[in-house]
Amino acid sequence: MEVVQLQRSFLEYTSSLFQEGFLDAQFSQLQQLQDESNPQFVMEVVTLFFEDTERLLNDLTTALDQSNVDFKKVDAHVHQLKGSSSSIGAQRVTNVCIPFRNTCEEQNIQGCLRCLQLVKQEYFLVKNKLEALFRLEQQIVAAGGVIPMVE
Amino acid sequence: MRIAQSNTKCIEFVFEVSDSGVGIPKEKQKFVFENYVQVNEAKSGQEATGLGLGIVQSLVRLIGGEIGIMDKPWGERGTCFRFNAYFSSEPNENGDKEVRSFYEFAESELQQLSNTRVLPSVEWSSQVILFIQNDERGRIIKHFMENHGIKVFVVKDHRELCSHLRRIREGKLSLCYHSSSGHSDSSTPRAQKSCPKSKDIPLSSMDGRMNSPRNTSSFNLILIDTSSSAIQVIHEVLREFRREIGFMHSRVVWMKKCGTQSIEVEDLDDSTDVIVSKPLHGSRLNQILKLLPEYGGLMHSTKQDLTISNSNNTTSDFTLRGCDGLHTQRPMIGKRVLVAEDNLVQQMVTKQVLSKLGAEVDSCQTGAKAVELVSNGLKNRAKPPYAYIFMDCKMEGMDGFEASRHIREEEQKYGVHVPIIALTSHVVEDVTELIKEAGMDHYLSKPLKREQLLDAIELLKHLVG
Repeated sequence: MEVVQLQRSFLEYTSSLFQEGFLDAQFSQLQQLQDESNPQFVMEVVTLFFEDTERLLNDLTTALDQSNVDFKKVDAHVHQLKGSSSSIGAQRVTNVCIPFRNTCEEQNIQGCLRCLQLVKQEYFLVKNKLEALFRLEQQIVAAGGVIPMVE
Repeated sequence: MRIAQSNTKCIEFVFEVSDSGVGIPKEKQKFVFENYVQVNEAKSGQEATGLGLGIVQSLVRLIGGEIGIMDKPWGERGTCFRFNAYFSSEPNENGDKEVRSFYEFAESELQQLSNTRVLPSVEWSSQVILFIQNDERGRIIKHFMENHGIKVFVVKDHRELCSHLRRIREGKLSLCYHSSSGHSDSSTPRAQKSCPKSKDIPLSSMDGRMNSPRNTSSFNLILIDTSSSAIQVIHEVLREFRREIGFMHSRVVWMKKCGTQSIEVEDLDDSTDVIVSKPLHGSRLNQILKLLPEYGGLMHSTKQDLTISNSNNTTSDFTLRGCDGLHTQRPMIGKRVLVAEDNLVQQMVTKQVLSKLGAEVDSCQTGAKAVELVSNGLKNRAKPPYAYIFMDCKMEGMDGFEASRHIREEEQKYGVHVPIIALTSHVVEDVTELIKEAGMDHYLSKPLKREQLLDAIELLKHLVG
């Protein structure tokens, strides 16, 4: 019975992530790309996303801390972040990148700092959610169940 | 259901509903239509009133028909109800057209299943091999197939399956031996090794199979119940069988319990494997029938995107292959491609989309590296090193446009043209000109989607050897 409860929790949690906009259809695409020849695909991509983003956030913080901000560089970093977040379906992170790029274009330092703040917030939120999701998956597998597919 | 007769005013339909339940004793059959009569009153907790069939009978009579219980063939479980009904056509022009077109449609649907000669130059002779735990279901499937003129062999266990497959292989091999191509039957000793000794199946059931005329092609549709404990052995046996028979002459349908992940069926070899949920009823049976060459089953068609058949879906279609139950045709199998993308997360996703389609994927992060890989490839083999190049437009240093220009220059020396597909996150209108000028052939927006990729491949078919 425990397995069934875990599976139900998993499905409910995943649904809520989609409903609240943390994840979009691209995340489902990732789940569909996972198969027996690449059984850890989602976890691998998401882990790479975490590493990549944390590096980018550091770079952004540094770049915006300079006395003479190189907005082109900042924009380039945001562009990368937009790309990687959209490729894993981290919708809310991607959405902050759009105004972020505008503030870069406007060379608006305050605007950029505010966007950086927001993007960090959204990133850590989705990171927590995804880690919780993976923990649930591990629990299901440990209890001998299979991870259900979400429609 | 069938159409018994029709004229311009009226059409008679006959419906038969047959189940595999406990059945109704002969002596009770005439009473069951009476109100409040139940066959089995003793069951506790049952909420039935005994009115169901009475209501059905009344309804049938209201539409001008009659209902009765038909005798089932001896040995078959269950009950078969049959009723007819008359539907009159509207006396106006449109109504007549509707009725006629419905009739034509219904008839063509029914005819479609009996129509053969999809491949006029080859006569197909199919047989279905059925390995199923549930006897009654097996009988129903056999009955259905035989009604459509397809021979069915039901095997009781994996040893019988093995033995049957061996006989087919030997039959086929002997056909080859007598043909002009003159293949030898060196495979027989191998076949013996993989199959344990089994009890004999009467060879009479194989008559006609081995003596097919030279221009008849045989096809084996194998339906396997995955709930068998011997599933791993069966899997190996089938792999061996298909290797010898060839993929054009066999196809496997794995029957799994509804709602379960079929992870117990490991690594399905063939991209044409089909997974279907049990029970095999109605529309699922029809679709299995359509897998046969006589009914339009074409092997290796490029795009057969079908979704999983389970209780959650409204469509009852199939999944092709894959333990996750999702469609995985592999149109890029045997093709080597290059992905030039500087964002590693995007690169990983792009590579997986391509790998899943069967491609061998090389990757790099800069335009310069892409040019180098292509140049070296050309130098080594003087023919296209890649079937396709997926080039990110925006990269540090040399971008995708510049890289493409260099690649085109290199190619000129060898007289080749590798299709380059631009990967862009930009709004398409902004980059179309740049893409064209750089000599790229097509574009796709990121993140890469399987569907769009397949469309692009299709469009560029004329460019690939």
